[in-house]
Amino acid sequence: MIKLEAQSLTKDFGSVRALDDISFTVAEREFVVLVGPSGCGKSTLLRLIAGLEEISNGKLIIEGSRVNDVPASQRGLAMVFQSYALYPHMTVEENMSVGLRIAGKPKDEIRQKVKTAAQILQLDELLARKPKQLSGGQRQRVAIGRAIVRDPTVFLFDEPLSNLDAALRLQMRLEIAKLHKQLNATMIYVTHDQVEAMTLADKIIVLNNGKIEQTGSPLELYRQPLNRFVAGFIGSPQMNFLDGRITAAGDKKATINLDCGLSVPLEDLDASLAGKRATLGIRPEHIVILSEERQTVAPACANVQVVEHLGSQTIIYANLEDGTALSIIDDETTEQCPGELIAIDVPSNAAYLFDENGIERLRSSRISERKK
Amino acid sequence: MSSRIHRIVPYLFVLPPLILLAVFVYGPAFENVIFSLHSWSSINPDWEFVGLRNYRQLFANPVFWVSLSNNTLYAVISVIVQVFVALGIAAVLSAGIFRPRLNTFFRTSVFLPAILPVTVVGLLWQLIYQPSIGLIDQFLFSTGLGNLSRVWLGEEQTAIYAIILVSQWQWTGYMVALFMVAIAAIPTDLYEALEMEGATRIQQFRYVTLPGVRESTLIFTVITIFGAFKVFDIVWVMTAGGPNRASEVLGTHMYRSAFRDDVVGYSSAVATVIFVITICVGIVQLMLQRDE
Amino acid sequence: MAQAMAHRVQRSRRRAIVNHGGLLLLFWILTAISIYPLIWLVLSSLKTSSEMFGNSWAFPEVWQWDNYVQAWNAGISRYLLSSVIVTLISTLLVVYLSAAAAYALVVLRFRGKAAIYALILGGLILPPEVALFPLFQTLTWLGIYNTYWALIIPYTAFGIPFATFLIRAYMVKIPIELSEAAAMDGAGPLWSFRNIYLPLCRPVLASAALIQSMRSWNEFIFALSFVESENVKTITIGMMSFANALRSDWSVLMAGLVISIIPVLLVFIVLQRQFIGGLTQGAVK
Repeated sequence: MIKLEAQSLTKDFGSVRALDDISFTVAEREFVVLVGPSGCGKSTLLRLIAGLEEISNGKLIIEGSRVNDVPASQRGLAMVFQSYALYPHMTVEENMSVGLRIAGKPKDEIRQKVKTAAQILQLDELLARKPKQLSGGQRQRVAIGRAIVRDPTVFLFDEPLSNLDAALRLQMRLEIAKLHKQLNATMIYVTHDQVEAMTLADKIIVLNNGKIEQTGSPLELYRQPLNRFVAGFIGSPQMNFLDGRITAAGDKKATINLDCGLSVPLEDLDASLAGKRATLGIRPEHIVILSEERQTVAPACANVQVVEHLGSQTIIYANLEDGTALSIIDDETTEQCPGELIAIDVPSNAAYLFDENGIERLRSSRISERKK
Repeated sequence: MSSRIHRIVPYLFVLPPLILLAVFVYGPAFENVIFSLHSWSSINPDWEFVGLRNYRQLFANPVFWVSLSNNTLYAVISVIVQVFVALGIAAVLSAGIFRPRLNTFFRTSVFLPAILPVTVVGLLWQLIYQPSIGLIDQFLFSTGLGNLSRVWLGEEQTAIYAIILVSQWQWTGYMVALFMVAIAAIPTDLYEALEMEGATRIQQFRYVTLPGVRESTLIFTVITIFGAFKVFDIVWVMTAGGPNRASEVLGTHMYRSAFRDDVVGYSSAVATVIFVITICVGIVQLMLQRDE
Repeated sequence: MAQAMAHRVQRSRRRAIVNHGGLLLLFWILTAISIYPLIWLVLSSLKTSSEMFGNSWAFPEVWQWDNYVQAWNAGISRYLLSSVIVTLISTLLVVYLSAAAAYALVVLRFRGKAAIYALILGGLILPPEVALFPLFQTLTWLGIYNTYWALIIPYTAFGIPFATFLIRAYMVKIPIELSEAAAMDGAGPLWSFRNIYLPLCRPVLASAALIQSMRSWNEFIFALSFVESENVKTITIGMMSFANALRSDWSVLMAGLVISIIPVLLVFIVLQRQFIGGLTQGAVK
């Protein structure tokens, strides 16, 4: 069942178009993450959904009815703010019960609901405290508790973890994931952190410059990015981009000659690209470092700049001969040193190809085919 | 439907103030200008449009000029005392020269007169100025300066000065408190940096305090001038403009014209002059602030 | 806060407590000038009139508490009551209406907001004197001349601009997310005004209330012009009638003056810090 649907939403601030033609659906119990760099419009989109900003154009439908003109207070949604936005003069219990009190629910019911939510979030001991007396993580829980108590149609999260330190962020991320399962809740979650997006989402919506770049499951976005932006945004360290020119070739076989000197054979390439400039994308984890024996075949050399040993893997930052920066993830704990030259290979079956407009031309076509 | 109500609600919050301001502040101020172009009184309630006649009368009236010069005198002395002297006092009190307790005591004491109703202040000082039995004369006699004694509020030469002095007594402490707030807003490290270089207190005042309170000083000066041209109450209580209208100010001149002499149009013209003067002061302030 | 800052400054530069004898003397003289007239007032109010003339520096030989009884019976209590009523109602109105306006100006969205704020602030530059006679007519026309309302309403109207300015400046520092959170909790504007903003603004509301009550309590020209019956006169004007009636009986007059300042003085002594802090609010950016 579809809980919420956006149909061609736009938002203008004066003459600036903050959001342009945004359409997507959120199914019941779905966890949807809006992700993108800062300023991409993801928080604005969440605020449009919440009713905190007016929709300039398009339609927003919640549970079948158009809510464009319904004020925030009557949309039946709950929101967890980045700054938590706890009422400083109220205790935790009062903070959590505000929504029910406004709705005029009986006292017993309110107490019961607050108690249940407090147990879920391990806040039982803190109910009489004021927000001032809580740690960052506890405040975060109260903010979530306040949302749970409301039993909303959809939960909205606006970068809820960005004010926490790294360890706490991981812990809260897991708790939010658990909560989603436990409550069978529908959630829309805004973040700029692609790791949060990948780990939490059923569906990710990638936004850039007020437009949707791609919508899909985490693995879809990872495997079949539609364009260079999504390819670069999802995955860490970022995908490597190598510029080159496509040589004319037969109908099925083509080759890209990279500026660094490497040539990569490509299959199933659109013939219209022949002779054009393009960018090859390859994820750090897919680059192969060639051992000494195979170096004779090695078509490219990279100069190691920085080596990061993470234990289970090693990240190597290197420069190609033409100066292009490259990051490589090496699962073997090889002992590379800065200044060393390594030979690398780009396996064409793991590569992506982006044309001059940044559109992916090798793999994305396959998902659209599959969808049909 | 609910969205329409939603749109109206904000206006309900601002409506009561707007109505009150329109009916009791802007409306009367506007009417005042209209009145000033008419000849009109409560005894003879026929309106007669007279153009600028009231203003011509006004500028021909020596009492108006006495009033205006008294207001000006009021402004000049008030700026000297309530701005510059007050700044000096505030700087000393903020510099931590005295022990904290004593410091607070001094500040509170000089502030105290500001909380008194002007009637009380006026009547109290009437008694203080009272010939021979008042505090001033008693002080003069006991120090052998008895020949300086005079009827402070009863002589044309001294009346306005005597009143202005009372205003300084009442308001300087308040201005000191304002300056202390302004000085406290100056970052402490500026003083510390200068102290590290061995600057004296005078130099600290010169190079940190003064620049730090420049803008506040400007604002306080304007507030003081505003006050000086609007003054009414203390004059009315102490002399009502006498003797022989020597201590008249624009405020009392206006009041007397409307409520005693029943020349409303003329009175409105005086009020308009007060208004124009305060507007001019306001504009000068805005221009000065833009220069900053 | 100002004081705390001042003290911090003091602590950091304590070295020169010495050698300021001249300055110290000067400040003692300033203090004496500021408060001696009041001491003199209190002492004189406890003397007989003849003793006051003859020996105005000394303590009273016999403390004449009877002066206070006479002053009280001469009508001061009535003036005080009027002042309390007028001050209380006008202060409540100013604070509540200004807070509501400030809330709308800060939190709510509507067309013409900047113009409306300018219109409210504009009231600051109009001196009450300018509106005196037309206002007198308006009040007469409304049939409230010579009632408490003839003072309460103009005090409220002229008090709103500054109070709105003051409260708004405080409200803009409250994170807007709080009102958004309240909206998400299902609250309408009125609820979040009453339950979020009013409680959080308590400090500035107190300052605004203090400033307004001082203004209302001490206001002179409206009180002089808009009421005439003894039983609606406030203390400021009442004291004038009182003084006229008692020209000869000076010590009773002085007792009356003391009575009239006792309420304000008491509040000032008890809340000295908050008082000076409150009255200087908004004067400095």
